[in-house]
Amino acid sequence: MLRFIGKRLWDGGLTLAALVTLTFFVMRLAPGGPFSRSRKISPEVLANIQAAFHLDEPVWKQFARYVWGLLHLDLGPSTRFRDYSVSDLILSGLPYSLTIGFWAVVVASLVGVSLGIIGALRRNQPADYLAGLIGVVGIAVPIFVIGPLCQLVFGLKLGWLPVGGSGQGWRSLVLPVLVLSLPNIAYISRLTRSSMIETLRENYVRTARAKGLGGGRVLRAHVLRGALLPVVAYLGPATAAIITGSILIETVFAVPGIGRHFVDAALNRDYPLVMGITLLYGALLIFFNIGTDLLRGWMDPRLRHGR
Amino acid sequence: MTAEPLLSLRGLTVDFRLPQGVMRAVDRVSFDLAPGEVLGIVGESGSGKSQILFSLMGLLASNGTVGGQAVFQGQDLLSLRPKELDRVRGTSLSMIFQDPMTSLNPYMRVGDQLAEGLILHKGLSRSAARAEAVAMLDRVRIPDAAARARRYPHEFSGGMRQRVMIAMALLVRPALLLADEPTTALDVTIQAQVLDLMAELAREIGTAIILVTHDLGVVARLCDRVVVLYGGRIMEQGPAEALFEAPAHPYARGLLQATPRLDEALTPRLGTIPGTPRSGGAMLPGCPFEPRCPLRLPVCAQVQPALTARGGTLAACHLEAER
Amino acid sequence: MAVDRPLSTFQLQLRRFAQNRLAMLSVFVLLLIVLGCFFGPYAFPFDGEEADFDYIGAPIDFSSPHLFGTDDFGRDLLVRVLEGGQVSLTIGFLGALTAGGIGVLYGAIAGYVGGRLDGLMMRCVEILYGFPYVILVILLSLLFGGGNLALFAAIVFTLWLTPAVIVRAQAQSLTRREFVEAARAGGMTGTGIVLTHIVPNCLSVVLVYGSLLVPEVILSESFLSFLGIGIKEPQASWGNLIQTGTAAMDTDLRLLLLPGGLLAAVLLCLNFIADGLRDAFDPNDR
Repeated sequence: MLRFIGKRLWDGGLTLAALVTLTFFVMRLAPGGPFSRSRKISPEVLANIQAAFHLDEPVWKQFARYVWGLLHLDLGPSTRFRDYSVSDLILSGLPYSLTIGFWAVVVASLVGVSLGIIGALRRNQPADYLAGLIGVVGIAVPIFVIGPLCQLVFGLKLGWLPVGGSGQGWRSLVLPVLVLSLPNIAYISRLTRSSMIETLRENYVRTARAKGLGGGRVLRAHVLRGALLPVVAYLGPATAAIITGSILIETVFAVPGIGRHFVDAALNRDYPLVMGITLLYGALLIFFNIGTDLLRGWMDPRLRHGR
Repeated sequence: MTAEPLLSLRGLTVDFRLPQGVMRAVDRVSFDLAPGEVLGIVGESGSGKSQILFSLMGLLASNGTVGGQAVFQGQDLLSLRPKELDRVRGTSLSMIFQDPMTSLNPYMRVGDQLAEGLILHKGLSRSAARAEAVAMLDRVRIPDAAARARRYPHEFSGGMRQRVMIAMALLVRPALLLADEPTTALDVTIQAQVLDLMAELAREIGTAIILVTHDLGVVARLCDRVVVLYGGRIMEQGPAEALFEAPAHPYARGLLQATPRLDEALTPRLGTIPGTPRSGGAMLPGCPFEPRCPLRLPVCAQVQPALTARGGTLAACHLEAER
Repeated sequence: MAVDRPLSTFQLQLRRFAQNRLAMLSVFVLLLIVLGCFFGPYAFPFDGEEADFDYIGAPIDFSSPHLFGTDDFGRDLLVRVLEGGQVSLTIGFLGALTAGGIGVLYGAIAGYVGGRLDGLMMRCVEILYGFPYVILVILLSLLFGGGNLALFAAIVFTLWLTPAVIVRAQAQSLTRREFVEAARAGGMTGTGIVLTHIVPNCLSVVLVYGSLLVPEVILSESFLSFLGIGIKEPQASWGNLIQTGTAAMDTDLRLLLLPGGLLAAVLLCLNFIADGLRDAFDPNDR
């Protein structure tokens, strides 16, 4: 078990290292720089600023400097918000992003799994069709179309919920969380439904029924675990989907989270901030992938002994 | 049949709704089973023999419907409400399935899978149920049963898993055990061993067995009585000895000739029955075996023969009746 | 049943697909949209980047030359949406084709060669899999400086991984089959075997997963354009049209609904087609 975690952490470290290297050089190779967009500044001033951020050094030296900082947990200063360090900016945005992401995962799992189970147990009945419809909408209508529409209906026309921002506590969370969870609800419910139908056909479920356990107990003790395994396996990729989605959600709903910081930073060539957020996303992804694998191993004894 | 039968089938019929129409898998099958008796049901694949067991257990596929009566210990299994059926299945009626590799829950410890029935139906405490499960695993000769009970199915070999299934089925001391080709999926070398174990334990507990198989050797060794099924209908039934001695139905004779026998090791060639069984044969007006029967008469294609007594058995054949 | 000539598996699978009404309807609708996007604009005397100063911000009016009205610059909305569709659909199909092609070759080679090279190649895939996908796309499209080609390259670069993994598994099992053994014994070269035996036999798997790639690529493109990173004004794409529509939605919903609706319809059709292909080609997976 420990060896398994150790190997995965080592792999994760490799991935992060590759990510840092690739991101760093891609950024430097890209045309334009952090200050090329600013108002006309005299060459002397520009040179001064460049020097202050060590942008005048050769690229390899900048890279070495960055990695050295990283090893000391220093993500460097932001080139755009000059008085803030990257860590400050990330820490200011992270609570918003994590809150929305966390609730989106919770809502997506609960609603998606329930819809899938209902669909599988009431196949080709109205409840199944309703679940299927939600799934279709979630897959076909992108976040950046349904998001603005929800703003329009629930925010502007009905006035039930704030259109965006973060000022109204849980009320500001409702729309972003719902919209962000929608594609995942769609995916999870489809996944649950099909794996549930498959599991219900398993011979061991027939054995359980032959033991006279009764429908409810057969479902709880024998069907659910097998049926939910693929859903658990999806949790890793779901993290990636939530990260992608949160970038859009924070833009659409004007949430001051790290997703929005990231887009701004990328557009403004704020190298250190882009690097910092990329690293954070990479680390989150690795963390959740390992967590998913551990959870699957805990649920499925065959995986546990296979490794 | 002297005493009150344990199970009495009357006109059991199983139909399946298919896209092409209704397919009759079992057609008006009737027989009795005495307590403690071992009955073999033999027939080729597709003859409906497994469906008889599934219909008794209430485990037919969702497109299947069942007709007739199956009186077991005084109540008709086919008209029980789900709760009552669960009660019967958990206490006095058990089943062993064909494929031991997939019939155990891979996510649950073997001991827990055995114990859960006892906890639910016999009201045992968790620890008492576990102890009984371990004792039963020991009786089916799982080595180091106490430790093994804490293992998962994938850590058992095929033969061991089927012995676990036998333990699970006999744990509640059922009055009747339904065994659906319990050894076809196993290695030939251990088939006999597993079957003998099953029969021996059942005898000790006093459990009757319906053994579905296509292996006549197994029937000859273990069964008191035999039902020969073809195309969903009973072709011949009777005491095993009498049937093996002098099979009356051409199909039963064909089956016997197709079975290798040690005491006639030098027969030049094993007999075969020409042709293949037709699915849905039970829906024809005449005898389902008629198209393949070497001795068919014109009447066979039109009229379904009734079971009538010959020698020691009952057979459904025009031929013998006319003689 | 009359048996004339035994159908090949592929023909049977196609027939099964053709019997799926929802999938066939989707193919039909999708074809209509594709034809509309590529030939529709020719029916109008102006193109999507031309401003008509007589009609600025005009509403839907089927009697005017601008059926669905114009935007704030007097550009015809319908033509812009259709032209945007050209971009999105082209990137979608070409992107899926290219990503699929790279993935198939990569996977086929890894699976066929096996051993250390396979380990190394799959290790690379694993590391790339650990990357946050959007971030990579955003970075790459920034690197290439925006524009269609840049966007295309960025999307392809991130989407070839899944087909590679799937094909590798398939290739591995194929490599052990007799006809590959026979080809090798007959003196066929590795390249020849990969191209004539491994790749063609992976095609149905690739078709199923490739059909899922198309909506993914289209979604990525419009996502990036929506954020202002992908296709930029004045060139139209569904993503940036939706972005424009969002800004004006409280007064005029049509700017959002027309491109958004079309995008949703295309994604819906593509998903139904992908489902239909999966059911037809992979009957176990239901």
